[in-house]
Amino acid sequence: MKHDEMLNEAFSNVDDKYVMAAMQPPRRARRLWKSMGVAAACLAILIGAYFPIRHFLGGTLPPDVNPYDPTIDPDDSAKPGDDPVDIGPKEPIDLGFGAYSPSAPPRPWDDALQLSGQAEDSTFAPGEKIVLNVQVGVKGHYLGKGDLRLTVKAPDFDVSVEGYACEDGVVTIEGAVSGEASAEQMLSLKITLTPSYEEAYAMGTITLSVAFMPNDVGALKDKIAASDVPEHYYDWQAIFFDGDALRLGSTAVDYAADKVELILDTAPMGAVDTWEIMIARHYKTGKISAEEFANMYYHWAFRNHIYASVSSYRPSDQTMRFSYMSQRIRYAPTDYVDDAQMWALYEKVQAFEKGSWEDHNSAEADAARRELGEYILRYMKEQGVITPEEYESEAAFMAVTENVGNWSIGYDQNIAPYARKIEKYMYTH
Amino acid sequence: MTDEHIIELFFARSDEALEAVATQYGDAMYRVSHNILQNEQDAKECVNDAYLALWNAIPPARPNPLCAFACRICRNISLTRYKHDRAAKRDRRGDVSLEQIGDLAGGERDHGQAELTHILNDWLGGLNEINRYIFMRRYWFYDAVADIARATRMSEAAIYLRLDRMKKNLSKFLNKRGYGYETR
Repeated sequence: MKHDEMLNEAFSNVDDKYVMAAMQPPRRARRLWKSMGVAAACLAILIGAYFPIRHFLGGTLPPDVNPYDPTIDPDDSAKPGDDPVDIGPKEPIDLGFGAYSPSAPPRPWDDALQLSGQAEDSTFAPGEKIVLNVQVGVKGHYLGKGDLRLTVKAPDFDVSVEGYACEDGVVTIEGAVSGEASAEQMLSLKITLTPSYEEAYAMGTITLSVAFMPNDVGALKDKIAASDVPEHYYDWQAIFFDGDALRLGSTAVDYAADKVELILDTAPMGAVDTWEIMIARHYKTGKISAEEFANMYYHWAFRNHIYASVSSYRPSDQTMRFSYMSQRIRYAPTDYVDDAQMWALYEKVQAFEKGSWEDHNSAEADAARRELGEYILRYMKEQGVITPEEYESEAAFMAVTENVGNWSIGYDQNIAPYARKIEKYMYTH
Repeated sequence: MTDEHIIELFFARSDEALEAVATQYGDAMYRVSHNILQNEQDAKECVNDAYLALWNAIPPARPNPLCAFACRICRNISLTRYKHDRAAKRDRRGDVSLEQIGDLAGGERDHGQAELTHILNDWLGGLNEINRYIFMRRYWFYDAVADIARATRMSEAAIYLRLDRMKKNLSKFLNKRGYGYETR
C-alpha cells in the first residue's frame, strides 16, 4: 500500500468523536449557525404570521412616534447613477420584485407596491451597524389603518427599527400616517441591521419591502375630496427601476426619464403607472407569463392600488373610465398600441407637456390634446374597445380630450371592471 | 429518532431503519460523497451503496455514534469509487483535496494502519477546536476551503494558511514518532 493511501485510510478511521465534532462548526462559529437558525425560525414565523397579522392585528404604532419628520432631506434619497441600495460587499439586495410568488395564488397583499430606501453608508466594517434610511413616499395619498406595511427580511441580521420593536423581522405599521391627506406625508424609518456575529460574513440577502395597501377606498376618497393638496404637485416621489431593482427616488422628474425612459413628472398616479408599465414590460420581455401578468396587473392596478388622485376633479364613473384609459395611452402609447399616428400625436402633445407652463396651457396644446383624444376615441371604437354609443357619449369625449393632457384623474373602484377590460386590451395588443 | 432506536430497527430488519438514516444522516453522507466525487449521480450511488453496507453491517455492529459510522462507510465507498475512476483515467477533477493529505506521505517505513490511526488521533487531540474542525472538514469531509471559510467566518487565505501549518505540524509529529513523513 502506498503511504498516502495508508495515511488516508488511517485518517478515515480516526476517532468518532473527531468526526462528530466536525459535524458542527466550532463554538465560535456555532453562534453563527445558532443566530442563523434563530433568524430562519423568525423568518418562518414571519411568513406564517404575516397574513394573520395583516388581517387581524395589524401591529401597533407607538404613540410617541411621529411618522412624518419634516427634517427629512429628500436629497437623502437615491440619486441617478447610484447603484441599487448596497449595504454590503457581497450580495445585491433584493428590493422587492421577486417578492411576488407566481406559484401561489395571488392575494391582494402579494403584489403590493414595494419601495425601499438607501443605506446610510455604502459599506460597513465588520461588526458595524448598518443603518438604512427608508423613506416611503406616500405623498398625496391618504393612508388609512393598516395601509402600510414595512417588512424587513434580513435573516443574517438582528433587525430593529427606530422606535419600533421588530421582534420577528416584520414591522407592521398601522395607521402610521393616517390623518389629513397631505402632499408632504412621508414616513421615514431608520432601520438598523446589526450583524449578529463579529465578522462580516455571509451577509446574505436583505429584503426591504414596503407595502402600500390602501384598503379603505371610501375614506380615501373622502379625505382627498376634503384635502387642499395642490394638484400640480410635481415632485412626486417616483419609483424608478434599474434593471429589476426598484428604488425610491426623489424628484424623479429630471432623471427618471433617462433612467427608465419614463417621465413621471406630473401625477401622483405616476408611481402606480410605473408599476403597471413595469410589469407590462416584464410581460413583454418574457420575464413573466401572461397569466402572471394578468394576476399581477389585476391586483396591483385594481385591487391594491385603488385610489384617487389629489384632485378636485371628480368626473363621473363613465368619464373616469375613459380618462383612465387615456392616461395609459398618454404615458407610453407605443408600449401598448402599435399605431404610428397615435404615437405622432402623442409626441406632439408631449412637446407641450414638457414645455413651459404657458406652453402647457396654450390653445395649441389644447388643440393637440383634443386631436389625440379624438384619435384615441376613434381608435378604440375601431378596435371594438368601446361601443359606438360610448364613442358618441359626452363623457367619453370629455374624458379623453381633457385627460390626455391632464393628470387630474380620478379613479374609482366602481369602474374597475371596465377599466380592466380596456387595460387588458391596451397592454396585450 | 435516536440512534438507539434506529439501530433497533436495523436489528429488527425493518426498512424504516434505512429511511431514518436517510432522513437524519443522508444529507451529511451525500455531502461527503459529493465532495469526493464531485458528481451528483455518483454521489447518490455511493450513498445508496452505503445504505446497503449499513444494512449488512448492522447487526452485528452497534455503532455509536451512528452518524460517524454511516459517514465513514459512505466516505470509504466514495473514496474507493474515486480511486477506481482515477485509476481508469476517469478522474473528473483536478482537485487536490485527496492528495493534500497524501502530501504528507513519503516515508520509507511501512506501519500498521491502526498504529497510524492512533497517532493521528493523538495529533488531532492536540489541536484546538477550530483547527481540528478545519482539518477534519478539509481532509475527512473534503469540504471546499470556501465552505470551511464560511462556516468558520474566516477568510479563505486564513484557512489555507492554517491548513498549511497543520500539515507541517503533522509532518513533524509523524517524524517524531519515527514515521518519516514529510510534506511535499
